[in-house]
Amino acid sequence: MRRNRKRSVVLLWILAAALVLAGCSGGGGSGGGEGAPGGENGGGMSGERPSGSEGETEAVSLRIWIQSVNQPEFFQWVKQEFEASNKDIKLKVEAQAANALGDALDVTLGGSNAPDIAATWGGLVAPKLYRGKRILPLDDVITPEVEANLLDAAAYNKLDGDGVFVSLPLAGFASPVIFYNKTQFDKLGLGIPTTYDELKAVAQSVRAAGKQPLIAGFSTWPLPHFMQAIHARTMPAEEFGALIGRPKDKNPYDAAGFAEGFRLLKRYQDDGIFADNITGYDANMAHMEFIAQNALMLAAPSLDLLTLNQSTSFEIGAFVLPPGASDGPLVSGVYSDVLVVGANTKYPEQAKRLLRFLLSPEAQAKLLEFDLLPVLKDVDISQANPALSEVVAAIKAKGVSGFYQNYSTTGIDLQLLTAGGGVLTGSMSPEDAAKLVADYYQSSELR
Amino acid sequence: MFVFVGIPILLSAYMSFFRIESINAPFEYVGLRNFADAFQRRDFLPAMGRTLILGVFSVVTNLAAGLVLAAMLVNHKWLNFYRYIFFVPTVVSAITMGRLWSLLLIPSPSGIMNSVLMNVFGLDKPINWLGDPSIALYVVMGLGLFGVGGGVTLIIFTTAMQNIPQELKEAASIDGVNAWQRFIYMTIPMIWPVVSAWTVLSMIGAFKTFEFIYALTGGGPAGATTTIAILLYEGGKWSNNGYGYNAAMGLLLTLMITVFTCIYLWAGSRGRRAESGQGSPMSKRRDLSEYWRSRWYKIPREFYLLTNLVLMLFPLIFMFISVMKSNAEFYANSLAWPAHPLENLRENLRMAWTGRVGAVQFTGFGTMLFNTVFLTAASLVFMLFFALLAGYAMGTKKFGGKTAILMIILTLQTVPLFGYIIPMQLFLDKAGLIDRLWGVVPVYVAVSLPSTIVLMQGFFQSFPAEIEEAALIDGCGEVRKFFFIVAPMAKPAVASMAVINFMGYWNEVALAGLMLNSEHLRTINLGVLLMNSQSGVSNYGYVFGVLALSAVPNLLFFTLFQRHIVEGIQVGSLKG
Repeated sequence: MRRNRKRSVVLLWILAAALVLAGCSGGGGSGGGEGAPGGENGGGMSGERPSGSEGETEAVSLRIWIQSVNQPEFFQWVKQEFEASNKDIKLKVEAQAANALGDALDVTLGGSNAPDIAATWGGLVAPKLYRGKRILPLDDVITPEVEANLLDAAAYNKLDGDGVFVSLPLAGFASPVIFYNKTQFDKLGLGIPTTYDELKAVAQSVRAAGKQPLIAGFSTWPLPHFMQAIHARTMPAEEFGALIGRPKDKNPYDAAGFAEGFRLLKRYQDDGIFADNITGYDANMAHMEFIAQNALMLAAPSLDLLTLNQSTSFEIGAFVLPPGASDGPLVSGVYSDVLVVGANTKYPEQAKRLLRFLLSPEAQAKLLEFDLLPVLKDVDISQANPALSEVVAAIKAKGVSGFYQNYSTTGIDLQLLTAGGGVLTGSMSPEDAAKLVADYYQSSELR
Repeated sequence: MFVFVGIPILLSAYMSFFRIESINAPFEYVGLRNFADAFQRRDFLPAMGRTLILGVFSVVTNLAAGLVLAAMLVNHKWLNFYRYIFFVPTVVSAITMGRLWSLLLIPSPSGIMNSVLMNVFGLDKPINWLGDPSIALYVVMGLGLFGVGGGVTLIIFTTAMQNIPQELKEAASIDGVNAWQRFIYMTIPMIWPVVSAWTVLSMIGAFKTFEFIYALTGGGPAGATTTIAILLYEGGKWSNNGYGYNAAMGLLLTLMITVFTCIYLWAGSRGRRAESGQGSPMSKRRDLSEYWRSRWYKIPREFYLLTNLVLMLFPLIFMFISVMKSNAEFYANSLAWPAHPLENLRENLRMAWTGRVGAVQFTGFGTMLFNTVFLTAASLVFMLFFALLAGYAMGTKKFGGKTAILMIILTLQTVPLFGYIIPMQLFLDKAGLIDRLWGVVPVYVAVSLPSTIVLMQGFFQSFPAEIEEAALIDGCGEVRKFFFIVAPMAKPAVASMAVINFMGYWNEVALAGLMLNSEHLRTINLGVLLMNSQSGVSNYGYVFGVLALSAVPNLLFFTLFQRHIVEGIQVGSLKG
């Protein structure tokens, strides 16, 4: 009897273990609970793992993670066109939430569920991934000829010191630009402001008409982005450039122009240019205030033009912030949505073939249809997208600034959010705000 | 449990001594530097301070309001009705409630709270509720008052009061002491073991406060509402500050909770002594519930209850009215009744269900529902199976190492998820479980098993040994006995555990948020949470459609299984 009992217990545990294993492997492939009913998330995207051994005659499956916003429509076209001309490759395009495409890739690209290609952001993320041996160098994709034709090579991650390209600039966007309600501006007889005083006068006219002037989602990431535009207007080009270089021998956030940026931010508020309670809006709420025509200007990335155009019943125009206090670079930061190739991919050559396709004039021109900014200089955008061309013309008039990496670097951007929010709500002086960021940089460098 | 919880805990302790920029890069040993940094930098201590402030405020207000409400309701003929209503804000997930409140508190004149204050009370300009660091934390605390004393607290306290022996009440009524004395000197001491356990557990819970505040403010403005859990979650999501530093903060949080757990155990043992008659000096008095029966107090009592009822339901009523409005109507006048409610409702629910808003495609609610149902059902089946087996073994069998296993289970139960969430994420990725729906199942099971095993063990400890012996005499083997006799008899406990864990799985968002990246794998709560940060969400009709749909399954579930939920909480509280 006792032996039976023991045997039963052992059997039970084996059964339990088998159940666990069955549960773990059962949902593995394409199915189980993973499949989304209806395939409603854009482009027939699939959650399947690539089948690495599909036979010699079968097409290899490249798995690519893209951003869930703005990119799916473009990649539907890419999938169709690329597969038509590359019969040996099938693309499996998977839309991902933003949090999967930042530092999280450091983990994901080393795991068993890693995609072959992943979208991420320019800045420090891709170099960090490269140093961690998570992604492949792309010097054989971005050749010197291609580099010469890039909108601004410095803007697109030429990596730290090694001079190695580690990510492919796919589409650019300026952040922030100021979208304005062209219909209402025309009604009120307002033009595009080109100086700070003109912007102030526009804001006063808007307020007199019972509307709010400039809205932005300053409770979240749009504030650090806006601070970049502000600092580009208060810091001499050399100081501003030092922020990009992240020098180890000095603290670039101690520069006088950096604190001046916070003073200018406060001035925007004191002069009534910002909408009331601007620190209480997140990015979506700000968009909705603009769409509802409660506010007539919106500070947002240029790529938001796509969703704004689809939501508004009025004509939209765009301009860049007017000059500030000094002879800074005077542009909005130009960011790039980039793609990286995972170091563990089984198909590096096929992945790079796709990247070359994305850099083709045809694909770059196609970006304009989705309100995305091509990264090649020789793509003509003036006809294809008037609103976007206004922004690009303004940026090109001064020259494109390098992508200001630290403004979207986790850690620094949170400090900027805290500091900017503190200044706007009066809980922090501009000097203290600048010190907060400088101290953080100092401590993070010392670590 | 050991694999999915134990290893990450050990990994957390190990990582906290290193500087880790990238997981694939060499770890740089820094000794205690990460711990020293936690006390020197500007994030950890303020976050801990806010957590404590929110925790103390929440515990004090809930304790006071919970006792008063329980005393009012314990003999009320509509006890079940009120208990249901007061539970509603608890049933609807914290994420949904957080998002809902953030919409109620839009800082423009079209925000409903501002609209009410400006139109009805003549306020001259809108309040920046969640955007001003000087008031945001107080607003969060104030919102905690909606539902204060209700939900779980009310069930626990009314149950404790109902358990006071009737004979004592009758004996005390003859003594003629006044109502307040009866309440203070009889009821409170009698329910003290439950109250003290609830207090410490609530304080421990406060250290894990995450969903509601994160959905409401994301920790802003300017970090003014960042709690320790939010700090760690953000660290896990974005690897801010480095993995080693985050691991060190997690370890400090674990230590802090261990202190509170020790207090809890001490209070529990003290309570048990009191229960056995050593510490209840005034145990022959009557309770305050008698007081509220007096007709003089009926009117204020009912007024208080009704006011609470309206406040509890107000956000949900707002949500269900708003879902019947078009985007334009919401902006035009957030207080007005919609012109075409049914048409708007249909359109908003269509957008929410399909995720299609104009030309923009978001994750449809149908997909999110499917993912949530799969995840919850699969986790529940495995968890109950293992909990039943383990609880039975721990409760009825004698075997070597039992005490050690029990200690390990209790330890795993104590360590907060946020204390080891970052190493857990790394571990799960190595195991290939990231971004796979089924990959979340073993993690959910492992995280919820310790507490469920403890409760199951409690149930089986009182399981009649005679029944087992009779079964064995009749020739029933261990396996047959377990499946055909023991398991059916454990149905009430299993049902209660199932219902409570169901709610936990259904509403969980922290683990799902770290593990599931793909849009098509989003669960309901993840979808609601990420609506906040997803670009292009520019239609309030869609937003309210998603919120309303997310609330409906919870309300339905609670309505259908109210009895089991209440029983589950009662079992938990009595074990406490």
